[in-house]
Amino acid sequence: MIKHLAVYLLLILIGMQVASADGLFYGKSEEVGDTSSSTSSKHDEELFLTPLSISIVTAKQIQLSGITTIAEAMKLVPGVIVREQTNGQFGVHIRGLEAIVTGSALSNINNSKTLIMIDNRIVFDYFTGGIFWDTLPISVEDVERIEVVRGAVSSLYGANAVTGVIHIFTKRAGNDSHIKTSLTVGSKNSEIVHASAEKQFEALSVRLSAMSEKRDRYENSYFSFADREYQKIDDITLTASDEAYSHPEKAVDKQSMSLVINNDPFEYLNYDVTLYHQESDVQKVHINSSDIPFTYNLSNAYGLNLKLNYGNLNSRFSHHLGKQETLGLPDFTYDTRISQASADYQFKFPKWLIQPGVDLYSITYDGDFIGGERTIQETNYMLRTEYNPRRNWRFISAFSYSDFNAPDDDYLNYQFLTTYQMSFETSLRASVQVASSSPFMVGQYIDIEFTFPNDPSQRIDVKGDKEARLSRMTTYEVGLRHQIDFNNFIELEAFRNEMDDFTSFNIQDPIVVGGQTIVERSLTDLPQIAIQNGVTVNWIYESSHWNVNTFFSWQNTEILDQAENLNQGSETRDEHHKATPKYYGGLNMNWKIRRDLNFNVLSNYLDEHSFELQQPQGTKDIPSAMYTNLTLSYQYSAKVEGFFAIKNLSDQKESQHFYTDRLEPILFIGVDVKFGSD
Amino acid sequence: MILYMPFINSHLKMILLIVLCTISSASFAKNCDTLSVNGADGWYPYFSRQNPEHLGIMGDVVSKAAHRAGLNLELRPSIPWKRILLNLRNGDLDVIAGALKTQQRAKQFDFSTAVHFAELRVFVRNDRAFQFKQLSDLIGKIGGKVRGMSLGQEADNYSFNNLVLDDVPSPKSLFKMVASKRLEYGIFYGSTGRQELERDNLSAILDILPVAVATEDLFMAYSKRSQCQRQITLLNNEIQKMKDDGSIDLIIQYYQAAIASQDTEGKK
Repeated sequence: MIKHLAVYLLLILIGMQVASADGLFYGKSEEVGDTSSSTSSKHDEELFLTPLSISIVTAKQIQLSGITTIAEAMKLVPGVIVREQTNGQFGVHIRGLEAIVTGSALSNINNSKTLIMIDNRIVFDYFTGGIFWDTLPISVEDVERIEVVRGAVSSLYGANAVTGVIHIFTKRAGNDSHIKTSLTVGSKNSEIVHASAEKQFEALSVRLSAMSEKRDRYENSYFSFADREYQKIDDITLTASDEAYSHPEKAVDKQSMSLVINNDPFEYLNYDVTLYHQESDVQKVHINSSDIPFTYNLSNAYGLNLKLNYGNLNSRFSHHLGKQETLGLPDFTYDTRISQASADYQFKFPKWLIQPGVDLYSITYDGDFIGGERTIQETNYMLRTEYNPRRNWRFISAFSYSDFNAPDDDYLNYQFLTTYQMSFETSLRASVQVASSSPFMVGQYIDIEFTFPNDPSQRIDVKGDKEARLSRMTTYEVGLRHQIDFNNFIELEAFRNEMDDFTSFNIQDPIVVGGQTIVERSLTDLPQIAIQNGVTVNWIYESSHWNVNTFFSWQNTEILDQAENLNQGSETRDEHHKATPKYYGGLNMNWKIRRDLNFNVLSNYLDEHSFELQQPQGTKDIPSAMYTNLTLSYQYSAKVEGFFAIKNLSDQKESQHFYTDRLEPILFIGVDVKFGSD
Repeated sequence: MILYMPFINSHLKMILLIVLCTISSASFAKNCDTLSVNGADGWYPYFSRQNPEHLGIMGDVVSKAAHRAGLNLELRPSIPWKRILLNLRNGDLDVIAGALKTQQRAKQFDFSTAVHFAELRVFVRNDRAFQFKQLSDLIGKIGGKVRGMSLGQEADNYSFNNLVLDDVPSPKSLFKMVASKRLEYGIFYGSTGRQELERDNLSAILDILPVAVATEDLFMAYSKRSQCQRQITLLNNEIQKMKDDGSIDLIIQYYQAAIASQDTEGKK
């Protein structure tokens, strides 16, 4: 670890040294300080004064760092841990808190505590809770900006914004009509094609976008849990059918398309409608497998998202139809039907803003694993107020009352925030927030008897619990933003997270019925409490030729009353949580060599950590590692630009997400060509 | 490197070092025959680059004053406003043609006496125009201003306590929100706003109310770290003379006539 930290510090010092040679620029205030955020307060405000821990990734930053997927763009965000499972497939966690229940399933490494939205539409998956990055109907080329809020913000966005929100804003057609094509090819048979067409008709703008992405995995073998080594699929005994892994080399094969129509006339009423379609065929860590980490998943979806604004009344409706299939596990094939409706209104008075709102969600899954069709219904009543006793001092409170069809218990999420602008250069903030999860299909409704195809004498029965408690988290935070001088800006945030009301499928004693050994696993409330204390530092240096952003987090996570194992009646103990690294951070450095030439270095560091899962998956120690991407981008003309990137440079050849693929360097080269007016 | 050349004796090394130091320090010495000037882009009629012969009221005043004082002016390229302030603070720029004077800026820069003034005016949809004589006429209405823009200390305090005044990111979005009735009025610089409306084809939808919300004095800002302090003093003295002899008024009248002419064209 010391070696990696030394390299990391050296890179920072080099960055500072080089950057210090240029004292021309005013710094953050030009590039970031003038930026607006709308996720932190549900209305547009200056980023410098936002009351929550928030970071914004812009399309320009994504382009300069040679980033090719939306999840990968999270490497640019302080306080976020990004692990690559295989080429183009990532796991993303805000401040960690992954696999809290020691000895639980591999799928618990996946993040089920962060809400993801595209243009205010929730794209969360309610199967086990979480985000399927591969099923997003957009490409990184469609992204205008991504706002990432760290902390428990269910009071603004309803259930599942427990560790934070990742809010993706997509592009709208601009003033000039044009067609843009982007072609990126890379090693591991990576091919990404994107095309978009934009046209404006007075107040109406139309943007049509389509993409295709294909990638192969870093490995052709898989880690066998039974043999504890990477092996060819033919050498691994599978409980699922062999057909589930008929293309072991394939990582991603996805296509998507979206049409955005935006009508913004000089009238009260304006609307924005998005139609989308997506198909994907990927390997990823999804349903728990007792043989290897990956499952092979197919998905497709159609949907629409309609935003209507009438003066200060904002409303949104969306409808989504989809299908998910996990090869070899036909019980876990399901159809989804998700409807969302929300509205809020802003009452404005001198010194006061009062913002009531309501959200209605109907989430229907139809699959054998839940015995047919099941629906989660959620209604959120939200009230947010801002009060400014002085021009530089603001109090904010927000409450969200979540009512589910099951469990019977209702949940109150809230936040109390204050911001104080000490001077032109310095702002302080403090907050207390409480957020909760929603019910999930597997947790609440699963009812399945699974006989192993290759060993019919063994059966696992898995039973959900409609009334199981929903995870909750309280976040305490204090933060400082300070413009040190014309070039340097620093952000500090100190946080404490307390998470409880965990559940897990505990193992009952085996019983034998008719010659078949049956192990029942039923959802059980656990006594665990996770307590996390941490600090994140984010430093930005900007000059006319250099831009250096370095961020680093230290955090310590302790688990109280951790069950020794998932067997019924297990003893409990207090322990240090090993799955969240204690130190992690990143460095993003841009050197604008010439007006048309930019060199980018993106390094991310994860300290050593360890996943301790149920048998037969076992334990995986991840050594500390730093991975670096180097990208050279060149703008040939206003209409033609390109980049060359080499990624995953490291002294380690290790997997990041348990025993998924061991990462290796990969090359990309891309060209963007624009046709039409400029 | 010279110190590691064994074939050069120590006396020669010393002479070479002195010569090099002299050359390098001489290369940093500034030629004060020419003063560098910059200004806020798109701030017509106060500063503008649209016509190299007419740099706006403040630009023309500096230009004419420099000419009268026998000084040359170098108009620096367009860069963001905050970088202009940095350059002035560091002595990389001598003069800003047109700036508001704040307590914070007064600590870092020298200022001329007030050369002109900018009026902040109320912009409304022409089908929703209202009588405006004083700030209290805005009570009960939802308005907006560009983020970071001050109305002056007194008006800022009044608006904070009594008005609903949203901050919006840019003049373009301010006028669009007024045009689309999401704001009942917007406050912005009258003359500059008029140009923005023309550019965005909003002149037929928005009106500018005749009474000013506030008036802000405009100054020349001078670098305290410039190596050309004597020339800056000469320039400032000449500006004061131009103010006294009516030359500045003539420049102002030229731009007022140009704006009036544009208004007439627009109405035709």
